[in-house]
Amino acid sequence: MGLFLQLFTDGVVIGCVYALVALGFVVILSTTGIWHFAHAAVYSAAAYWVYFATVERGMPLVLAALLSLPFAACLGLLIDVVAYRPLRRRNAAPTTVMIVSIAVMTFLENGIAILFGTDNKSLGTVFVAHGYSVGPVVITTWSIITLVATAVLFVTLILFQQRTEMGAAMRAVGNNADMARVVGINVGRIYLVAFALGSALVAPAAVLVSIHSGISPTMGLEVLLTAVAAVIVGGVGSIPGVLLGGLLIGVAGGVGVWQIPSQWQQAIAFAILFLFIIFRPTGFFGGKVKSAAV
Amino acid sequence: MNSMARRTVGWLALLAVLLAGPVGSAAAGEFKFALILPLTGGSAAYGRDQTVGAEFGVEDVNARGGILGDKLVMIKEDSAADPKRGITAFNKVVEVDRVPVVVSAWSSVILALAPVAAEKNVLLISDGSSAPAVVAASPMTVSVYPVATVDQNALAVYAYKDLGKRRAALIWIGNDTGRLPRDVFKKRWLDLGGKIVAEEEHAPDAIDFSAQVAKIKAANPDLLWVMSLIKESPVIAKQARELGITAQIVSYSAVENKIYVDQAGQAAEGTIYTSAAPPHDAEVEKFVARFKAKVGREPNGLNYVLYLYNAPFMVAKAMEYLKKQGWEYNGPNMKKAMFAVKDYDLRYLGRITMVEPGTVITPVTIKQVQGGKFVPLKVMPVGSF
Repeated sequence: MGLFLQLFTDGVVIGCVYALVALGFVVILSTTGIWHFAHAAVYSAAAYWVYFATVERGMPLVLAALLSLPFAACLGLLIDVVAYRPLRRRNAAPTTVMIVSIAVMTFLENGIAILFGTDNKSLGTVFVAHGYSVGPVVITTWSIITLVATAVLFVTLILFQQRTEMGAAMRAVGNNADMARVVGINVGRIYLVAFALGSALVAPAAVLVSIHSGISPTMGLEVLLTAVAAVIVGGVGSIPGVLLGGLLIGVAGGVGVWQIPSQWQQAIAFAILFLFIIFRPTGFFGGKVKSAAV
Repeated sequence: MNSMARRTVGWLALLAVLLAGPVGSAAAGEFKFALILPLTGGSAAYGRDQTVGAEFGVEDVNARGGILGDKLVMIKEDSAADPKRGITAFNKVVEVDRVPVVVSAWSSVILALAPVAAEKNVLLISDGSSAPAVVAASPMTVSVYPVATVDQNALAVYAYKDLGKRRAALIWIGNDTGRLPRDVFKKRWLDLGGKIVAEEEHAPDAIDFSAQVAKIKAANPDLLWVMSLIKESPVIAKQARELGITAQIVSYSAVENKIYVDQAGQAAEGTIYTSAAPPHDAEVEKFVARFKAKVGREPNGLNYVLYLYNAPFMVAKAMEYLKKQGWEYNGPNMKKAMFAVKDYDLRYLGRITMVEPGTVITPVTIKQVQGGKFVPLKVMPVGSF
């Protein structure tokens, strides 16, 4: 039973990481309809910013981590202005936009590799290497920070979406951009806000994973694929759904290896995705899958 | 044909001649061989440094008179540690540069190149891959780096006899880098009378190992055997210690890397690992100083770099033999020459001996991470494991 509880707890923590990565992705997707795969590169870039600021320039980690939010937000804005806005003007097909987002991701990852090299980097040992025992379960400082960061960011974002004018405007644009324009909402501005906010939201996950597992130019794609699975499982566009999808994939991967060999761990996430696509394509909380548009 | 067309045909003819190159490089007063290592991608931290080591080797061979007066020339290509990229690079150096000898590393790349080398009658020298499968992977493949059958046998004996451990938990990366050494260690460990209490494989691009580590903790091992790359090994060590696993961590020479100590921190302390190079002396320190003067830092994976430094010397020695015999410079003759020379007294590494079907035997040095440094504990001579 002790092992089961440990695997469950670890699954919850890694599920939170997937949910955090997916959170910014879903903010952009639900508002703009863009499957923004370049989000993976924004995630990598945020991690490299922290590496550059702390290891190469000696900035305190907390300050570098805080500055990673505006850094990621600016990068997200830049991608929208340079890559997606010209496509919107040309009424480009959703597939074209998705291909461009993959191209932007590749471009940025290669840029990072040119600047910092392709070898792995480390932020050094940030936390003391021991855990705290809670009954039969051991939990680490890193895990606690991940759980707290996830809770704070999800609650804040849900409140933002439900209680603020900007949140309502973003939902309106996500539901029907033309109708939103008719009632006087500046859709272009809302898109910018979505990219800035969604990109900033990926920075905490990037910092946490960098501390945990180190940094490499392609680190974003490795985790984004699982995060996108969490988005689909949770229901495309749903914030609580993303959290539930991330947790389900994390816990299933963790607890799954209790009884089956661990080499199948990654397959579990995609098996869940497959089952959802077949039996519940709308995910936990999703409505009809929204067709992508720009 | 107008003048423009004639000029175009002329340029094309010249290009064809340049691309074709001389057939039989020895006739041109030089011996060419190729080096294919990852210069980009996740393994480039090692590949680039090994390339610098090989460049030093070529410089030193030529400074000592080359191949009985002929110059040794090395052509570098990038594999990105990816089999497909490796084959593209291999075809380029064989078809365009016309080299009959290729030095490369990384198990998955060697295993992909081996059949192509046999098909094209090119000698493929594996230098740095520890997977036993690379030995005689094809009739034209030899390994000049001691594979896991050498160092993992030695590690099993050291852990069982010297450390007195009995309950081993194994964790490895789910590809040839992990699986093949696992087979060697596991067999030897069981033969010695040890128990395997947990076996956990992880995906090559995994970022978290908490599930595997939790299962290992539940099995209560006294030895944790880790066979992963430098990206994963420190995370595994850190998560194991955070979870309260106190078992001795043992691994292989990949952990002899600053990133391992930086990322794992205190959890790296005490890790015991195998090294194919003898304890470093003042000569090795001079080599490191030479490397630092060129690159600006210490090499990643010094042992691999030392082996790659010696690759041009081994090739040159076989070429000298071939030249003295009056044999043509081609792949099959180079393979015969390498076995005919048999014993190679290598700088920094000592004597290594080529044995059939295509590998080398060497002593194994057991080392440990102590205070963030890599400290030799014991040299296990050939025959002791």
